[in-house]
Amino acid sequence: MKLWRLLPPACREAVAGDLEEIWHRGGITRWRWWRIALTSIAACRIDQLRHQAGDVPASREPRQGDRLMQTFVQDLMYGLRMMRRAPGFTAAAVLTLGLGIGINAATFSIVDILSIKPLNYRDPSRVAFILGTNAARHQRGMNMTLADAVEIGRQMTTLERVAAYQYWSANLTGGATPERIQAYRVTANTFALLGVEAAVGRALVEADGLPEAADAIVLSDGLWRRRFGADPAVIGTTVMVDGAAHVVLGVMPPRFEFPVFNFKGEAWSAIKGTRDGLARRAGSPSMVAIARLKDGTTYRTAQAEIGTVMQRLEADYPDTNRGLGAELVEMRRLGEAFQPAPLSAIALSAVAVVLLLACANVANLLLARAVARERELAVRAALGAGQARLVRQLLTESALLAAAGSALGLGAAFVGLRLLRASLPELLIVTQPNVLDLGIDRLTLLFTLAVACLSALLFGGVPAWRAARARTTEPLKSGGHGSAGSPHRRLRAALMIGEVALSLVLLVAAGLLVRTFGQLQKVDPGFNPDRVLTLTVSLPDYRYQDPAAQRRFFTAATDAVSAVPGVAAAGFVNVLPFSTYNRGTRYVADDGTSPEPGREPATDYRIVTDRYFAALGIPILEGRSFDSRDRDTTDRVAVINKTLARRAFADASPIGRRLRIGRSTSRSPWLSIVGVVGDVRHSEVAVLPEPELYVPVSQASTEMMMLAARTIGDPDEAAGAIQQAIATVDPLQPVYHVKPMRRLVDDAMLPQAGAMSMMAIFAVLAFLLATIGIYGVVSYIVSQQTREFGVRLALGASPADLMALVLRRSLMLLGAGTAIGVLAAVGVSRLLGGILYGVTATDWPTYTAVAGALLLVGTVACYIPARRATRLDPAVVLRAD
Amino acid sequence: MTSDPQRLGTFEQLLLLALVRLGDDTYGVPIRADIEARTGRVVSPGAIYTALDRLERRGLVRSTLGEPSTTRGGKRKRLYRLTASGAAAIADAHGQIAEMARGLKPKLGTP
Repeated sequence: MKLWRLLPPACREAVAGDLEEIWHRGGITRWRWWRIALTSIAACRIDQLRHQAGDVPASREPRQGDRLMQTFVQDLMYGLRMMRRAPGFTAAAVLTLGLGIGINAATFSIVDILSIKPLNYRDPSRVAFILGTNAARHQRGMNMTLADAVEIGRQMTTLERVAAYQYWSANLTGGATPERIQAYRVTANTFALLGVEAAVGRALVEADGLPEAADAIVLSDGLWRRRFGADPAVIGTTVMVDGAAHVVLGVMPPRFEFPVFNFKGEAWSAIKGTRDGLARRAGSPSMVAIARLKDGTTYRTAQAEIGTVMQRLEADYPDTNRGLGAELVEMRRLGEAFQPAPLSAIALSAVAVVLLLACANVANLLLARAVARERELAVRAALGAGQARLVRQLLTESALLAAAGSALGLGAAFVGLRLLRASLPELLIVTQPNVLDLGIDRLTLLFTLAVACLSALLFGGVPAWRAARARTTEPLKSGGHGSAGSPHRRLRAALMIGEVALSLVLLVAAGLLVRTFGQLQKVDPGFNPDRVLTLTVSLPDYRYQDPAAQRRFFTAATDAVSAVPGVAAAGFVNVLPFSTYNRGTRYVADDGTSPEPGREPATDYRIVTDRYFAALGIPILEGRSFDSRDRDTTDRVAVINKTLARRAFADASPIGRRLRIGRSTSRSPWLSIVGVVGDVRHSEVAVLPEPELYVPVSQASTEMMMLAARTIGDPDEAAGAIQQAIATVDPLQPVYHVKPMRRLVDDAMLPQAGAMSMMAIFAVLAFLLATIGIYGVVSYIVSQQTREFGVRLALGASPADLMALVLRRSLMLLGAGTAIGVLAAVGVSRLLGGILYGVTATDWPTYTAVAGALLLVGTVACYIPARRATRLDPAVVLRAD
Repeated sequence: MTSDPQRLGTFEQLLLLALVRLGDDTYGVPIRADIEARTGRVVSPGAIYTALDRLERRGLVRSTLGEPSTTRGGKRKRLYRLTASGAAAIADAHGQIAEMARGLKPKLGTP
């Protein structure tokens, strides 16, 4: 048993044997057994320390190491005694440190789990994304046509391989229930590029991508365990994926994760085709491209070459590639390339501030105690303790406090993380499945250890140094009164100013984020997201081959859902707002101008059923919505949003005007505009609406659509009836992503909501600590000046004079701290710029409110101890000498 | 650490009395069971071992290693027996207590 290694070797065998025997004999509860096991370990360890400290055989000279150990143990025992003797002080210090260290441990654990883990690929630093850029639209994204990716792979000499993949939400059938899995279609060289092998069977190889190869699939470890009971015999059998038989080739190792920046892949299948077939430009699908750099090439040279290749492609294919470029980004660094603000750095800095405040408070307590202990230390010094020895004693005591604080903090972090894990938003679990492992791991423990050591030095260092330096025979002579000199007071004044300033910075940051969140919630997304149920239907093409059948399904499903009691209106759309998907197209307006090929403007593209606008509550501003007049046999029609109307037709009314989908060379039919609808925010609340073009499902074709059903009551309650209604149209058709629209919108605000709640917690803690700190400093100042006040009272000063005196001094410190804090906050809050919305980093109402609140609470914290000064009885104070 | 071989702490007395009762070559598990059954005190094997170790250093008990057994996960027992001075020390300590307690039973409220 590993546990026994905790026992010192001398007694390990006898004690461990006894414990095991006691367990084997039974008759003892598990809890009780653990209690005696742990107390055994403690007893043996303490005994061992005692031996090392005291029972050194007289026959040999103690060595240097023995002496050090001996003094350490003595210091430790002495420190433990001191802690026990001042339980109030110990409790206050340990609680404060526990708070500071705990919040650091928890935050570190969260940041660590959300950060990109080292990729489990061969030589991962050479694996890169190829981002597609569009100069005309100032865009950069994880998308590129398969044809371009193939061309880049063909022409580049600095890249070893180029692969591409595409999300594939597939139906896995054949088991008890059909299941929707997160699969990916990948080029067959993907696994070779990543340099990973399967754990069971084999991964995809190039031959699997040949046109004549059998349909095959590689499973993730998770899917294999969940769906196939981790049965190795599944290799070589066939499973039904989207209605087609696929041979199971292999299972990837448990730690294999691909791709890293999207839904976690559960299965991978090869895209088949000849090299020329994949490079065909017409209708080439949009993919995510990845590459592996050749050994010995740098990102800089590869980037230079990819630029040349893209220019060549632009010259060869001006129709499709005008303005298109590519950018290589090391896979692990993609987050840095897109993140609006370094959230994890901000979070860690914020908790570091909380820790600093906790340390400042404990330093404050220690300083107060140092005064009380001056006499004790002077006695020890007089009895021969050297300066170094005293410093070491005080630092050992600080280390003990830090250790106790860490234990408490880790416990609190453990509980806090467990609560957090139970209430994680679903979106986070889908996109970052590791969050389910949130807890105290080895790395967090190491981090906590480092934080504890650092804080022990921070809060214990200055008081220890001071106590040792100030050690004279002075305290022995005076009547045992700690006489704090002015350096002590200056230090405490600095501590107080620092605490006020630091907490103000956090409060301002939190205030700005709270305002941001408030502003976001005030934004009108262009539709009413309350009481709307959404779900997704993806018709498999093996059962719905022709567009007419798809249309029939969606029309019938709309009617069935609309007939459900409790549903006010229902409609389907190919892409719902906030669904994290989008579809776009280029278009040409009939305004007489004909844009150069490749320079056509772009718009988001939506396919809807008739009642979609009513279901979501999107207002019709002009003209009409789609209705039964619009059939596949009638004239092609479109509805556009306000932004598209303005962009394509300026101020003129667009009703009756025409648009054509595609490039200027395309011969697609003209669409007559029959209506204009309000703008809808699509991807994020904070992002302005894009142009949108709506066409009726009766004149388009799509196999995947999302339902929006406006309900009269709670949408969750109607979910069952709505799903049943769809099942009446086709009982074999699965629906998925069933959730209220409100949740989609809330999920889109997750980064801001997360940042806000996190920062709010930190700021409240900081505020609390700073208030306690102010109170502590002012109390101390008052207690140190008791004698002075007594003299003043005796000489005729009124209590009000004393109050004014104390308040003036403390408020000056408070004011100085606030001023410094405001200046610091102006500098620091710029870092938040990327996630702020609707408020600037120097939003003066926030600053005023925060500074005001801090001054108010700070004044109260000064007032309470100041009042004590006015209640002094001069006779008592002066007689105390 | 005290150097007076005659002075015994309460726990040490309990241990030595257990050794007297259990006879030679007994070990931690029965000692623990005996103390717990008679006094209700929950003691850990670690505390028993460290105290016996202290007594051994003072020459009051002597220990040997026994045979390993499977119920002990293959670990050997450490077997203890009283030495002559140990027997004398516990007899002495018990005698003192008994002498002091003589006739006090009604006042101490013990049965």
